[in-house]
Amino acid sequence: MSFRFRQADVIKVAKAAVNAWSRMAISEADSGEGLGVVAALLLLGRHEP
Amino acid sequence: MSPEGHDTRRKILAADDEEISQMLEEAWCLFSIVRPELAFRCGPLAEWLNEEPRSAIKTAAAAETARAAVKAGLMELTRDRSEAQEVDVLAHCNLLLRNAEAPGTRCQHYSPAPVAEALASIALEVPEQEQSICDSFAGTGGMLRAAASELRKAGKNPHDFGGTAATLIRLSSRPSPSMFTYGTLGRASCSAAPTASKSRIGRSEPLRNREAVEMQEAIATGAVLFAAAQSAERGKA
Repeated sequence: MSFRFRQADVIKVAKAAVNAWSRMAISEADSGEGLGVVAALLLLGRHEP
Repeated sequence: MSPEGHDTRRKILAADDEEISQMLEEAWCLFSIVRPELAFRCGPLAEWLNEEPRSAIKTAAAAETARAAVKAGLMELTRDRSEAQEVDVLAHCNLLLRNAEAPGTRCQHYSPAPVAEALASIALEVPEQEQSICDSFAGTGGMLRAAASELRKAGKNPHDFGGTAATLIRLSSRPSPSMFTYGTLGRASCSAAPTASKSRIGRSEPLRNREAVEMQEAIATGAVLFAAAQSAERGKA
């Protein structure tokens, strides 16, 4: 998979996650928790982070 | 995508808000158990999951975020462990979430993976065992990820190297996601400094880096002593 293709996919996922969080979160101060959601998703199902 | 990835995708899309929160909580709990030296830095990312009662709006927002990320293809990108090491989703989330003034006022600039890898290949041209790698202004940990990648290319195991990073955060605000990325190096530590004037940053960062290295070495020493004591106990038995 080429780097450009992968980057486009990564940015698409990040935008989808951030848009969803920003639509519902309370303020900018909560953005760390938004990152926490994505971080936890990356950990899901892994026995060793 | 692996069968496990399909399974996680299906589970998230079928779960209600509370069940997704539960999954997030379990993921963070596991991380805390496996990487306690990093987990305490990540606390603010997951603190809301421990609130009693848990914030309903954050539960709903987290569930919406999880569904959106999964639908957009997160699992396809990251379920394969080796491929996941090349995918920096958190960096792009951080870029999108940060204050628009951050590049100017806090000098926050993202180094794309190819740039980070080029720098790491220069810095680690001849990697030496027990060498420590310090990223003194880590954002999302991309430099440490690149360093780990370069070590693997050189036939070395990143777990044999110490990774250290210092990051700047705003007090009472967004923590850096870099601690999460440090899992790419086996023995890793980090320090976090609140943002302040440039002169204060200049003075405190070397000290904080040294503290981070000392803390990491103390943890490693403690683990070696503990393992030796356990081994001796087993020998007696």
